[in-house]
Amino acid sequence: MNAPTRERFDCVVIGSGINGLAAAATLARAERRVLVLEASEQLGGTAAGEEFHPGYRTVGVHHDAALLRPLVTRSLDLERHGLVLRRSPAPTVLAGGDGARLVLHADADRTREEIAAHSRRDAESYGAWRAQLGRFRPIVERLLDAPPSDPFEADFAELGTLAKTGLALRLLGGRDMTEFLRILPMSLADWLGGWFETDLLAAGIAAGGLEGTWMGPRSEGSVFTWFAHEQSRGPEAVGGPAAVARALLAAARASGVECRTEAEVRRVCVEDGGVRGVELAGGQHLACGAVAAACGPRRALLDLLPPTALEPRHADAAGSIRCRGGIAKLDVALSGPLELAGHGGPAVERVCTAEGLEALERAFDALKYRRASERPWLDVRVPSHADPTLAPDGHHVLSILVHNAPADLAGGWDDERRAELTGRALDTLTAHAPTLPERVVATRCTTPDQLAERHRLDGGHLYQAERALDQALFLRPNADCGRYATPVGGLFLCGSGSHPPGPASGAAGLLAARAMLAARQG
Amino acid sequence: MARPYDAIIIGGGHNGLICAATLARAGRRVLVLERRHVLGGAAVSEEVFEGFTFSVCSYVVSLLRPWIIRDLDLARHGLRILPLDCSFSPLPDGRSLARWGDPERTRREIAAFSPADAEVYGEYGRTMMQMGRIVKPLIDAPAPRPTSLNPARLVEILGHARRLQALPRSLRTRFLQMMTMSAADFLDLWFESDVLKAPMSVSGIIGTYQGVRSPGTAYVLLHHYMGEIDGAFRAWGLAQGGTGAVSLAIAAAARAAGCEIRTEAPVERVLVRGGTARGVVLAGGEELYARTVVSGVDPRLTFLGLVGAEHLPAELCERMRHFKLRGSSGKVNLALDHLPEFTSRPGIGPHMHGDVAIAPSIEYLERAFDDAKYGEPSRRPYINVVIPSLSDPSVAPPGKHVMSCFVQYAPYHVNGGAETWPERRAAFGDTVLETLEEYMPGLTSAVLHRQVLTPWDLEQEFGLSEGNIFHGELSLDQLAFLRPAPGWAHYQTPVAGLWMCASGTHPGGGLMGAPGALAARAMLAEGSL
Ligand SMILES: Cc1cc2nc3c(=O)[nH]c(=O)nc-3n(C[C@H](O)[C@H](O)[C@H](O)COP(=O)(O)OP(=O)(O)OC[C@H]3O[C@@H](n4cnc5c(N)ncnc54)[C@H](O)[C@@H]3O)c2cc1C
Ligand SMILES: Cc1cc2nc3c(=O)[nH]c(=O)nc-3n(C[C@H](O)[C@H](O)[C@H](O)COP(=O)(O)OP(=O)(O)OC[C@H]3O[C@@H](n4cnc5c(N)ncnc54)[C@H](O)[C@@H]3O)c2cc1C
Repeated sequence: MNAPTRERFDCVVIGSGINGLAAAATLARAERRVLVLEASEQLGGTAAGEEFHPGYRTVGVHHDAALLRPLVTRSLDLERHGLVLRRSPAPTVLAGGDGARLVLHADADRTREEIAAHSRRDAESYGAWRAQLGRFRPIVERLLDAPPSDPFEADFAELGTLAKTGLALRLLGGRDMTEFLRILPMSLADWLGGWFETDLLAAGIAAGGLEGTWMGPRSEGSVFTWFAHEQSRGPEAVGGPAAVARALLAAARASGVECRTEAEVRRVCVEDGGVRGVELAGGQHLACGAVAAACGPRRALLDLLPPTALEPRHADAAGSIRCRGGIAKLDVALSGPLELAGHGGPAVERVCTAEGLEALERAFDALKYRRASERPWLDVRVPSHADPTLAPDGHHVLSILVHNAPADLAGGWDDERRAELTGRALDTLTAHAPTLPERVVATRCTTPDQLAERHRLDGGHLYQAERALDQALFLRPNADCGRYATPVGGLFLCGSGSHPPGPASGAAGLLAARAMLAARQG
Repeated sequence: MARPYDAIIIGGGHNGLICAATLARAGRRVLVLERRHVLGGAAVSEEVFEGFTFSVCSYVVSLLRPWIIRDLDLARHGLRILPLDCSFSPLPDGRSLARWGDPERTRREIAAFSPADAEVYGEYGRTMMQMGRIVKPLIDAPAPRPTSLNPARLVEILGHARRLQALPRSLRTRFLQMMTMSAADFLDLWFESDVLKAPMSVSGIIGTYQGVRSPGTAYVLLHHYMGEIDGAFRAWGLAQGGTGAVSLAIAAAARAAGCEIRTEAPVERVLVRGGTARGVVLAGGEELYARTVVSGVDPRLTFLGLVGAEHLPAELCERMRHFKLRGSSGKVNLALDHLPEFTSRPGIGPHMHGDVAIAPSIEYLERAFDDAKYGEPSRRPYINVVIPSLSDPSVAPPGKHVMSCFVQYAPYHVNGGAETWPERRAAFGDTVLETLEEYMPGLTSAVLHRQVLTPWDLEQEFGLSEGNIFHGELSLDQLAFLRPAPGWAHYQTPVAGLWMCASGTHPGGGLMGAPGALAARAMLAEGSL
């Protein structure tokens, strides 16, 4: 081993994604000396924008910037550090078969009018449905914004928090409380099917809840992931995820965080059951008392720790964390805007092509047999409307999540199969936007195997660990590490593989940092 | 007007009969009304073809609560359970796996596929047993009431929580995983061999419209693991004389306590006056009166069929319309001239005395489900076979055999509509035989008679709405305090004097008996009876 250098940090954060930066900023604000190490050449993790074709940029691997928790924005003063939020996000166009269209607006009344064109009954149900969600939301947000506690091992303070959540639940009234408990473990198809008869509407609503899961709308438990996703939605960051990353970086730097790129951590050094430092791929050794790993939990626990650091049962439990990537990313450069046939009105910024619940389910089926969906459904964004700097004048970029494509495709991925997937995705979109083919300047398809490699995502999975009931709350990513601490003293998990699950909320980083500070190891 | 009964029980299924017997033994005047000509509901034996007695629906006894066997003294009333010692799974490639009562023998069999799996198999069984012990008090008592502010109820819930808390953390984690994972994912935590995992995973899907990869199915694994006969966990058995013998023993216990039982007495509706159940009206128009009416049929049939929406809160009716029934299973019963052998393990050996699972891989099972998901019977279904005549010669003529095949998936809501099932019945039977023929050549030509029951038939003949074998799916949103509906999970209904006692109530379906017994206890405790 190299001789230790004189550099010493209180805490090293591995990975500079939204959560890594949120953790770093939170620790630095509490006067800790923090170093962020990022393996790739730019900061921001999956939120780092990049040029995918000369003159055309992405807003990050991911594109939905409405999932950043207000808790993080507030706690880290992100608006002061350049974050601009838009309170009413762009409407989503649901594009169904045979030219059917339904636009979901942030405003419930406008949405209701849209729905009424399909079904009067659904328009009425929609009001009641939204009202019920509104009543549930404070409870969901309470869960998202607090460190998860294991009710069976809670200390006095945690019992207090749990009791408060229990009370809030109870205060909903017996009927709402029972309803909430009843629907959480249900499938989206059963839940939404009970409310709405318009398949396009049910599918459009369901789609978000399936992201980062290994489920179809018929899978039980998908309602739970839907709540965790859709009810964490808030104001949208202008400029997309990349803008969120920039603001976080500014906040972190303002508090004295140091960041290094092309600094891949190869080893977390452990002595006597506690973290002593990290070793970089180049061989350099950095001493620190604590490590916050914002990379995936499997990587942190199985690849970065020395093999003997974890007892076999903990290693087994880490090996059982499920993170089967199932989504491909498609970036498209366009010479003009995306125009949907039969859709007038303002420029289209979001399209979802889930025609119906069965289409979602069939797309998922393919994953089980290690195939890419024959008829993928797409979550399409056009970020270049809000941020015209992403493309040359008058030109646009599309950011598309293609559902579903397995990381472990039977026979493996190669360029031919990527081209085939790209073709299928563009065909799907062309069916709704006939002018698309003539406007395509360039495409870049990133399949889950590439996400795993380029972005160092465990299993090529969006959220470092699947979202599922059994990988949620204090069981996320598993029971050993469900509250950010790991079996190794000083090593904490702080990426999206920890609670709150998945989306780029920054809350996992923030809550993990707070847990570290509470444990006085930050 | 005849003197009213203390209680009239609608339906002579095993739960109705257990409820009746329990009430009668407490000195109540009880009448059971069964629509069919035989008692037992889905737990019935019938001589469908001369000399051949089929356990027409339910075929193995494993869930029946031992305390019920004791309380009703069923052994004295003729019940004999013949243990099944083996679970056999033949594979299409000529290999096979048999799991035996003898752990050492099982270990050797599994080791042929995976030495690692052979090592953890015992551990898995012990873990499931420990978890069974956690759940047991939940299924042997009324459902907890999380919304109640009554201190006694809170103490009850704390009691359940404390049992969980007392567990070592690793086991508690397993428990929570089991409550939420898919059967396939859950088994992945232990095992690597598909040959082992596939037949183990199927108990997670029995009676559900879910696949082995659907989250929530791991819990059902336990439901089936809890089978205990006379206290022995994971014991499977056949009732001597067929499953109907269980129902007949219960009926005998009921009659011995003075209970009156009428068959071929279909109830047309429950008499409700002034919001209170007063009795029932039979199909012929006969009216019978009772202080309490107890429904032993499924919740949808009870509320929407026999009571009627006009007597019920709109919310409950809506809930019942969305109550998840959607049956997914069928049954094929065969009368055989002789018994063919399995290619993968020749000879009529002890491996055929247990249950045989056609479940060669997780993918096979998942594909079977995918067919059903889109409204078709599985092209290659999961089949669970037992051959009761090997252990119980009384059910077939000498030298001949009966073979019971439980089949999944056969979706009730088949493309074209459930009412098209009669036209699909023969093809469904053929699929089952063709599938089995691949493992057991010569089977088709050995068939003397066959009885094919589709989910449609289960509904028409046995009164199971949508052919659901458990009176409602055993999914988390339909269990415990949510079964059959929030607010009505303790056997009572919005109609005063009307109670429920069958599989659609806590703790759910299967030949378990707990709903019937717990309902009777609740009625007696409530004091109006
Ligand atoms: C295709 C795709 C689409 C998505 N869509 C959305 C969306 O629409 N909305 C949404 O909110 N979320 C979306 N997400 C998820 C979102 O990107 C993540 O939840 C979030 O960015 C996670 O941030 P993080 O900080 O936890 O981790 P990441 O952003 O994954 O950052 C981890 C960082 O750690 C670095 N790293 C890994 N190993 C090492 C090492 N050994 N040494 C040093 N550095 C290392 C990686 O290079 C990476 O930069 C999507 C993700 C993907 C991949
Ligand atoms: C094909 C099949 C295989 C199964 N295999 C097994 C197994 O191997 N092991 C196991 O544990 N469980 C098994 N089950 C499940 C188990 O048999 C049932 O869950 C259980 O028997 C239901 O008992 P019950 O008393 O609650 O209701 P039921 O048995 O359904 O009884 C209801 C009774 O009400 C009667 N009825 C209906 N309508 C009226 C009316 N209007 N008037 C009067 N009477 C009426 C019916 O005829 C029936 O007798 C199986 C079920 C089926 C269908």
